Amino acid sequence: MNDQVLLDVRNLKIYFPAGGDWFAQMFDRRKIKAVDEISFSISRGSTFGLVGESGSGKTTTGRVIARLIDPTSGHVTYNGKDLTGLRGKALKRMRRRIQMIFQDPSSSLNRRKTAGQIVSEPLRIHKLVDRKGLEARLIEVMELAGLSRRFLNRYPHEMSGGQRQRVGIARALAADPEFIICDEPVTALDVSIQAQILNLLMALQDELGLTYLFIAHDLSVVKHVSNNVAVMYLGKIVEIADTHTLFFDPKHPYTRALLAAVPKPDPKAKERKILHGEVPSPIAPPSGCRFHPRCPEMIGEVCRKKEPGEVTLSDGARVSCHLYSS
Amino acid sequence: MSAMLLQINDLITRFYTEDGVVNAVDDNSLYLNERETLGIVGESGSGKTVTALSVMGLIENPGRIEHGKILFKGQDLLGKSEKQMQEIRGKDIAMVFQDSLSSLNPTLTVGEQIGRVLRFHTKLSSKRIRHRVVELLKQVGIPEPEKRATNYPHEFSGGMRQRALIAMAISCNPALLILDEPTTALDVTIEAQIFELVNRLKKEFGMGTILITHDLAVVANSCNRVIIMYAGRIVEEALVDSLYERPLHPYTRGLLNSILRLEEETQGTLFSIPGEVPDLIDLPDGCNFSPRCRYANERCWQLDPQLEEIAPGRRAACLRVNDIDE
Amino acid sequence: MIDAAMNKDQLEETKLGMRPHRGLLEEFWHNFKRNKLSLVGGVIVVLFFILGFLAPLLTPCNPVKQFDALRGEHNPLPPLSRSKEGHLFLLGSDKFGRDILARALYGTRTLLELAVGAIAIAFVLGVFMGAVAGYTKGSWLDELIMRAVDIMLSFPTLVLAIALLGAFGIGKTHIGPIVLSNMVKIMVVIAITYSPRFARLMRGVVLQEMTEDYVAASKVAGASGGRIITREVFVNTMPPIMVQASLMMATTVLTSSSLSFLGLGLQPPRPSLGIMLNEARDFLFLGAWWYAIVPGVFISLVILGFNLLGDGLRDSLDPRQARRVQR
Repeated sequence: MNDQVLLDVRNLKIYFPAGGDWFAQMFDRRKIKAVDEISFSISRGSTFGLVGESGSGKTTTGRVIARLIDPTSGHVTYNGKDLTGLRGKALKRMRRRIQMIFQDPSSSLNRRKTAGQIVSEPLRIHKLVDRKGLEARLIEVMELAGLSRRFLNRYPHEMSGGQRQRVGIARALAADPEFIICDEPVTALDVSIQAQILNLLMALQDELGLTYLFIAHDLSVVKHVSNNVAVMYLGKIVEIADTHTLFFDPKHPYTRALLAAVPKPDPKAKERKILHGEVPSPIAPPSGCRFHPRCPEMIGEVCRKKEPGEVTLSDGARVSCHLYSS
Repeated sequence: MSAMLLQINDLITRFYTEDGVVNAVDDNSLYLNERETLGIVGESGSGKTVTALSVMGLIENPGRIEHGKILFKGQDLLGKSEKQMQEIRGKDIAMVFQDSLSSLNPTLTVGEQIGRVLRFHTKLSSKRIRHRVVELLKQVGIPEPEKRATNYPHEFSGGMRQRALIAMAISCNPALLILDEPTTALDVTIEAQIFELVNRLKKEFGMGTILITHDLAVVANSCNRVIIMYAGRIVEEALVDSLYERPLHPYTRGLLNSILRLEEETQGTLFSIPGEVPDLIDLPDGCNFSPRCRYANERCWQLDPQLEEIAPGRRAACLRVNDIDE
Repeated sequence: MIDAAMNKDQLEETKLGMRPHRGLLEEFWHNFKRNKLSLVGGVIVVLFFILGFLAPLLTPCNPVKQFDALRGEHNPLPPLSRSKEGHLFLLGSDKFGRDILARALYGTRTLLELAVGAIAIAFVLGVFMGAVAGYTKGSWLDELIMRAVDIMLSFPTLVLAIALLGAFGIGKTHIGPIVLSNMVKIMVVIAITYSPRFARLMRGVVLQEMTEDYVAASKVAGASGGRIITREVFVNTMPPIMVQASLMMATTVLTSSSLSFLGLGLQPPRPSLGIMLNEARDFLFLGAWWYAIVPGVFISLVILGFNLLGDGLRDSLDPRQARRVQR
């Protein structure tokens, strides 16, 4: 891992129209502010964890970087080049470098294709190997993902959840990418398989020099795999720091609440502190600081009226909270 | 010494699929005392949900309860007719399922659905039922209960839907409450809220509770006793404190070791149990866990271990339980 | 003391399982065979296709040949009676002295040709439109296609077919250098009438499939829209479309028979089951039951066959969740 920035996200906004189709949109101008101006960067070879609960915007961010959705405004730069403006052939070339692993292994594999057909798609699309080299590369990539060649002619329903996820990983590796967006890759898996897959992802990063954007809602998983972590709430990054700092010295009240809510596998542990209330709707986020209605450490009126700006603290953590602004 | 609320003896539930016979619950016995919370922990294929469904009498073709007794307050539920079971379900024994969206009828308001349960089991007038529904929604912490009772399930967030299901379950003051992975699909802060709610209700109403989950952390904080299931069999049973202090079965150890812990410094390669959960139609010879067990020897591959009482209240199904030292 | 080699083998076994590995086609056939009704439907359909295909071989005589009936002109002869020439009418004769069985067999042939042709065209048209509409969901193209579909669907099918045929006229039509025979015209008219249903269904299924992550994965892998639709989504849309096609064959048979019955379909002396029914009306109360029953039974059985087949396909193409029990 070095300091060379591979992916840079600046002032990213992703708004969706609240109304359904073009007709409804004429009457309902409201917008769902899924991502409301976030900025972060990822260094080559590192893992960046993006944590948040439902409605935080973390999945949408991942999809924009994967160019599945277009942003409303802001810039995403990959290796110095603008990513969001790419079209056509240039975009297709970029697709070799940036890949994605999806959450639901049942949905992310075409149920009427065999593992071999699924994994060979990227190779075919980019014409990376000829007929002879195809099988060799397929086996190579499957083995990297921990699957023997006997799985090549299997259909997804003939495999377990963990095996399907490995197929998804093999597919992501097929075209030899540099950057992989991992969208909740272990959430849908059994506990004993989660550890296997996480170990696999970490080993692959070491072996192939990959860079990861790791999206998850499970803090313990994120802590284990990430070098740096950003915590999102209702479309905004509330705190961003290197892993150690974030987990051992959390600054933002939401981060602290998240950490306190994680159940500990220890009967003697104290009862968890409860964060009350529901996540508000992204159509009409609360005024001022979005977290203020649920914040156990709210200072006063300023939290209700004014959105906190981002402050960089001495240990490198960046926080958006009035507790820290001057 | 509280009375025994539920006693399951030698339960065998099988599914006759066209690929073969699935031994979903393979000769298991367990018990639950009044006011006690029992955790049943297992991954997919362990048989934990089928056990609960067997208690509720909800096993349908191609499944069959082949053998055993399920004694609820001394009466054998397996000897009861469907009509008798309908009286019991929702009134004496209540169950909350995992997927709250599909557990609720999308065409009825939440208030109507809870009302139906009350109308079936009690002789309250419609007015009293409406009153009780609002009361129940308030008890489970749903804000603006009068208004919310007229909402449809899709207008509720995931956490609120789960609360509504809990309200439905406790509406007739059941003696036994079964929760099947109630928070798997929920965010961790909402999960914490739900468990706080359940703990409060347990104290208030004194229900016996069975909590089915794959999450060992959650069990540590909410249960008195724990049962670990693997491939249709109970492999370990203990008081919560004892289990986490000194797990006996290799599978339990494996699970505990694979858990990611927040408090610790970064762990290197995670411990993971190799292999996959076996296919229930084609279980290995000998111990079901032996192919994945690092302590397995010749005997383990040939002999099926029985669940034995190692110490009072402590059972384990492992031939080498006394040989393994940490 | 672990025997590493033995443990590893057992590990591999747990990974792969001992279930027989079946290809998709084998899986489908296996499920299809288990459904009794669909087997019956399939047999009926295949039987009638064979009858139609082999009609020239199976017919006892030329279907338009008029034999000399024994009892004066315009009186149909009952089954198993003979003409003056000695020809045995296995299923009786019609009012012109023609062999009913021969006409029924040829009528089946043309009927099935018509139905298959019409559905094939409707399929191609409808699936294409539906796929385009689904993939470009929300765009003006989607709106355009779907409103056209809505308009067409608001007409009762028979009325629409009659209107279109009326516009084209009966008999051969000349469009510039192209000559469309009557049969082709009817085929096209029926196809136009039924393609909206395919389009709507296809659009729905495409929309459904596009919410799945494998479509997103394909995009991320660099696939173009066309490739995604043809190489990924299409194969998953076929099951409900195939079911629909089979059921629509049944309706097509009914519609084209109705058109013939009304005199708008194939023109005499071409044998047509619908025309036979029309002719039979005058003789219903004169005791010539075979005149109406034979074409009636043929039409009914063909429709029944396609319906049963469609139902059976629906059951056997559905993902069979009951096989997997994971609790």
